[in-house]
Amino acid sequence: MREQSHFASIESQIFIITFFVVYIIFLVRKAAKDHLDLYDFVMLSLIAIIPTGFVFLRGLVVNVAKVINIEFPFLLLFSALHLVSFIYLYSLVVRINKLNKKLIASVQESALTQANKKS
Amino acid sequence: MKLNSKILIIVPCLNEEESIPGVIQELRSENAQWDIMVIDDGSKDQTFKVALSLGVTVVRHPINLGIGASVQTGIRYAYLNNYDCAIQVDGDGQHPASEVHKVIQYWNRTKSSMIIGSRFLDGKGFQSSKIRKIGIFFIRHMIRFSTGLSITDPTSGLRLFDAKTLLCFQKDYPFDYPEPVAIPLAAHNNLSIGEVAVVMRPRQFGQSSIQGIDSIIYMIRVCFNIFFVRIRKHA
Repeated sequence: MREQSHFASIESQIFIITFFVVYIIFLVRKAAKDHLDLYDFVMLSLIAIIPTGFVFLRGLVVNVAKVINIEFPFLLLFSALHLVSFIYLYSLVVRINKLNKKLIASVQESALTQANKKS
Repeated sequence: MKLNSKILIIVPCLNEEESIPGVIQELRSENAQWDIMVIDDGSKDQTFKVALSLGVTVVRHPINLGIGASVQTGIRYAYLNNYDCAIQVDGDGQHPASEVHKVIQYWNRTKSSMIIGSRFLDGKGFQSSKIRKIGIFFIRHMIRFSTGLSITDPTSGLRLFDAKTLLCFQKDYPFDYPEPVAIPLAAHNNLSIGEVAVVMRPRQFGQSSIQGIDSIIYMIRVCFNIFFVRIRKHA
């Protein structure tokens, strides 16, 4: 079948599943140490889950590719990865900006409180 | 001058141990009634100790937050302590104390909410380098395009904020490139903006933080920020 040629070889499948296992173990350990919250864990896991799903859910991928008329199903994989990265990056930027504003406000507050105490 | 006006002079500083004694002495000899507040924005030198020894109110940021946050700290202090107006004066000695008087007199005459001391209205005194003048020219036109206001010296750090502006800016003041970006922000909040001719001096000590390629990056980012003010949701 034509679609079959677009999918990963057995070597690639072994590589992807190995990456999945090692990466998820790494994330679980980081989450256990409280370095990641649930949202971070899920978003970072998707980086491994998406290629794994793409390899092991061939039928679904081919059908989705047909529905949206994509001839080369790998585009779906990269689009999904790109989307996840974008969403995660966006949420990080928003969080950093909020933290920055809170940091500035609290530094200002404590500096003014100290100045008021002295005067 | 109004007899009962409560005026705060805000002096934001970063590593200005050499220039700050002169700035404070000059301000004091100009008018002993002005309250002076030095904001030390995480200086690595002895700015904090030197300012404290001068007997003025000193606020110290334990880390460097930038000029915008420093000025906003002063604005918050002025707002919380019911000042009629606050005047920002650079800690590097660029603004002679006599020019602060001109700004206050202009405020008493016009009651503008924000007044900018412009070195270009009369063209007297220190005028800035050619590269900077080109940058200022662009920023000026960006502000004019964005707000319809013709401000000759949008990067001037000598400015007066009245009580209405203090109320507005204590909640929301630009942290990045505050001098030019505060103009469209004030316009967005329907605050009146005035300009008065002043004479400035070159920096007395140290170097400007914006030099070389940074000047170009500064200009591009300022232009983006000027337009961004219009679409931003404000506090």
